[in-house]
Amino acid sequence: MKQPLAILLITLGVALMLLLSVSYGSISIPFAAIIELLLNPDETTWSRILWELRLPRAVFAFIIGGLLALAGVLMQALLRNPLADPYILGTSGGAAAAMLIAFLLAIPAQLHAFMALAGAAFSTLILLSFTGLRQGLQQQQLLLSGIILTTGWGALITFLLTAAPTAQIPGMLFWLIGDLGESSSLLLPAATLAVGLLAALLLAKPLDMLLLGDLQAASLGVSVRSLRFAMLSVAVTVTAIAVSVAGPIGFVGLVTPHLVRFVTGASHRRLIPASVMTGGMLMMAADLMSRTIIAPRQMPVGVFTAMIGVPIFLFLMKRAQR
Amino acid sequence: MKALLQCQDITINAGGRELIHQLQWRIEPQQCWGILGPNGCGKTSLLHSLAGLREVDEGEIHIQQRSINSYSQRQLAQLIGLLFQHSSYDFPTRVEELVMSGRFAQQKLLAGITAEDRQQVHSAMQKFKITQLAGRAANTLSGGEMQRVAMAILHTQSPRIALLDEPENHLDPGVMFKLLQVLIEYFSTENRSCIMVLHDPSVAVRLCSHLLLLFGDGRYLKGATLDIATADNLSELYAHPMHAVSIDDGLLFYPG
Repeated sequence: MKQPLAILLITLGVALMLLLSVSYGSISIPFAAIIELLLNPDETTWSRILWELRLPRAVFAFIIGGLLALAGVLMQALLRNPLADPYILGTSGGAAAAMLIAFLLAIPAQLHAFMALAGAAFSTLILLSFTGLRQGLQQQQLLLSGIILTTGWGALITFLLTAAPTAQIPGMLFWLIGDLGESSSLLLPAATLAVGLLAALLLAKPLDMLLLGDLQAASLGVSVRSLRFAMLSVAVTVTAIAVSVAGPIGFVGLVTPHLVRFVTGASHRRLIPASVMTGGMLMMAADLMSRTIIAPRQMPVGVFTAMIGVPIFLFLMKRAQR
Repeated sequence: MKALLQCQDITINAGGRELIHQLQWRIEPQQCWGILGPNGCGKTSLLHSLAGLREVDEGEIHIQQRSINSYSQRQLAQLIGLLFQHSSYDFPTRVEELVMSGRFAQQKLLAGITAEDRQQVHSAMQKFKITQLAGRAANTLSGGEMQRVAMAILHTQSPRIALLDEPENHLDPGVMFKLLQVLIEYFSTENRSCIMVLHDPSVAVRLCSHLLLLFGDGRYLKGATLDIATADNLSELYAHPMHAVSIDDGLLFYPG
């Protein structure tokens, strides 16, 4: 597909999804009214729903989707494995377990992001100490280690849930499946996305080279070790911040870069921004479904990303084996 | 003449064995070296050490009279390039963009692609006959096509010294000679040289001005091709009787 066309399509998709997101819900607002209210906010119920509920939530969903997609792109390049993703490799699980510990110990909310970061970094260190950062890494070995690690974090999470006071359990469960309802401040995730995106774009060219393998990249002039360290730091941070505010939402990080590569190819200069946009769009779509399908009740958004993501993952896995 | 590359007493160990013992080796501009030896004798390890991808166990490697460790990865890539034994690629990057990665060491990190970059990529793709693959996704290439792409990347990188690790891999004989001759011609120009690991002594005799034989037990033998390529030396090298036949003005070797 021609590049300008692809960019146009993705941008249109994001705009359309944003419009749908703010329009549909327990009360529907017609598109014409939305345009009017976006230009001239007033004191009507529609206006308040739009400005105070729907718009912040759609933007929040977009940011979380963007963060997860960015993490997925980076991990896939760093591990030179198109099936890598922070959810599958246990990074999200580590952050989630650390978050539950933070809930149980009643650690102040301002420190939650740090807890998530520590958990995500710890989990990644464990993974890398077993599989290493070497090249020629077996895909199966890496994926298997990640999945085992995720299972381990799952067990710890179940243990923490069992040990938790009954009153806290529903909230913890909802958060665990991935929840955009409790949107806290937009500032931290938005700033993280902006900084992470910028850092990733600055290193897009060496990231392309890394796809050739560590040795080949080094022989062409890339300082592989420092690049890996920098990008892994960005990937872990971006994942941890997303998990700390929205819970461990799976599959967006895995599936998005794959879908986007069909359109943009693997070049990171195009893949990174397009993935962030598309990840945001997919998350808004999943959030819209989670709010409307059994309305007025809401489902955790992670249910939808998993229901869409699992079959796609299995399909990609089968293709990769051929 | 000043050496482009110099090995001073380098020793390479692997798997608890000493493969290469105190190798003294000078490579001068316009020389084309062939490295021969049995499987596991340290050929690839030696190439990787020369490319700065692997530490030697003893001794020093100098490139243009400076220790290899004194160069940054980037500077090193401007001086020395490596064609790997196997190149595989799992991502759908366009072939043209992949060939562009040879220009990395010459480019500024944030600068765009220059006319010079495009020119180099274009001429490399023409030389290795992959112009028609420009828009293909690299993960759909056959082994032979990927080998051509890897050669084009090395040509685009345009280092002073080209290291080729079994460049005949994946290529049928007719194509192999043509492509290797393109590489050798380029890397035999002023101030360049090339070093290649080969399996077939007949190919080495035909293409290389000098030979280095690695016996895998620390010993080595080096010199001008016609002095080194004898049936006796090769029989000892491969621990198997090798016979030589003269045909036209060439030499053919075959195992007995």
